[in-house]
Amino acid sequence: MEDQLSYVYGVVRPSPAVEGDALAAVRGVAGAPVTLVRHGDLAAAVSPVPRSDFSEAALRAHLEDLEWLEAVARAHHQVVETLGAHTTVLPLRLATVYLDDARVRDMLDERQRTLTGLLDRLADHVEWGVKVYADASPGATAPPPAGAARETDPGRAYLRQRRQQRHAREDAWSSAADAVRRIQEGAGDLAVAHARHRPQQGRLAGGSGENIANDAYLVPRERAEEFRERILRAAEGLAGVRVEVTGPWVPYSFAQVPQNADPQGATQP
Amino acid sequence: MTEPPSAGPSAARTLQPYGQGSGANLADILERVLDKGIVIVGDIKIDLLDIELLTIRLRLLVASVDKAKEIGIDWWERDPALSSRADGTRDLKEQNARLREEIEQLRKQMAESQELPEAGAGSRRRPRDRDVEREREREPVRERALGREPVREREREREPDREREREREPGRERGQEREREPGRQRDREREPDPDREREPGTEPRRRKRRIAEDDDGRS
Repeated sequence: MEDQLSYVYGVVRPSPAVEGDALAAVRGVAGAPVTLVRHGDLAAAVSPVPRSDFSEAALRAHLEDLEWLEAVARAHHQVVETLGAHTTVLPLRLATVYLDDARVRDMLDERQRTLTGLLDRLADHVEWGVKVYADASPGATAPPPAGAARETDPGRAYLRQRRQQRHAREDAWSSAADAVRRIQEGAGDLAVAHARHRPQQGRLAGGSGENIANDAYLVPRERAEEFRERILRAAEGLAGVRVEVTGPWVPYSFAQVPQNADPQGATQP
Repeated sequence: MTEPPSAGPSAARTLQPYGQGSGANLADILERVLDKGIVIVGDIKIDLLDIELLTIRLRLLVASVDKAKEIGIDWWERDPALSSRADGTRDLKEQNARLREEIEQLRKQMAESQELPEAGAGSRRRPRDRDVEREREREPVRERALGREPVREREREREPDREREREREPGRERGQEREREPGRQRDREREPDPDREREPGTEPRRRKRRIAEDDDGRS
């Protein structure tokens, strides 16, 4: 094991179902098998990974390489999702690496109370991502007044157009703000926690507009569908607004250790 | 990239198995695995906060543009920080259309404000309309490339143009120098011309007229 490190995906409560069904089939980072490292009533999902790729220097370099990062991120996510389909899982942040499995046990031992508390809190909850986009492109909002087309003075026409663009933008933004407000109201009694993320600047193909809110909601599993429908309804009929619901996710955004929860982290209502 | 709703609470778990082929929400996945999840410092310490998203975005450009496009991520095409073409082709088309329109407007105004001496004959007007048509296809490009110069340039060229005009038979073999013919505006002043009130919507009528002229020209 000299040249191997232990890559940890997440923490679960061990059960035969998890070990047998879930992890037998899944391949983790770098195609490695995934096993459970147990300690007491907790277990960490772990893969052996080559030191050459996951030492500090190697990681630093690799994380700059998007292809590598993407592959690892997807593998990490897949293991976490697989676990999540069978039990409650605390996803660890990407690239949490220990020297060996013994060190993983030490970690589980050290943090037993915290981890157990989080597992209890997140049990039977899912996370929904809700993104609100303001789309100020022409056509997304109200059509321009008919008189504009007949404007004979080009300067004036230009200024008028600029003004319309600005108005369209303002309208889209205020509609979007409206949507965010409605969504929060709608989510109020269904979600047990809410986290606000940085708006995404990446644009997915087919997407348009500017991401003005990127939120995550923690919802009890049995009300997940109800939540999703309610969110989509809340945003209906608002011009220039697009709402995207992603998930259900393993509760990534709510797996926060209280003492170093960042200010943008989960808030308990 | 909203995923289809899952089977619902009746299923053992509402979490969908993660589809290997689905690359639609890489952005969301990265956001979660890089930024969220429980932060426990391992033995290999790597400060992920160092890895700013911007770096990742720039790397994406270098690393695998095609792959990213394949899985449907193309934001750098529209990101002014990353692309000089950030305007997007759609915007360019709009701009182009707008510029054409403005140029057309400017021409009309010039025509109306210019005091032009008597030259050129009304009979030339119709063949010239053909030039107008061609001109409108060519002009905007030049105008754009040269900024406002062309307008003044045209004014300078007006004299020689008119000279040439007088020497020339109105015919189909007229060359490109006639393209910049401002004389047509004179004619428009002189006689009521339906084209003068031309709005974008009246194109079809002009086309018909041109077809008729072509027949004239051949006979």
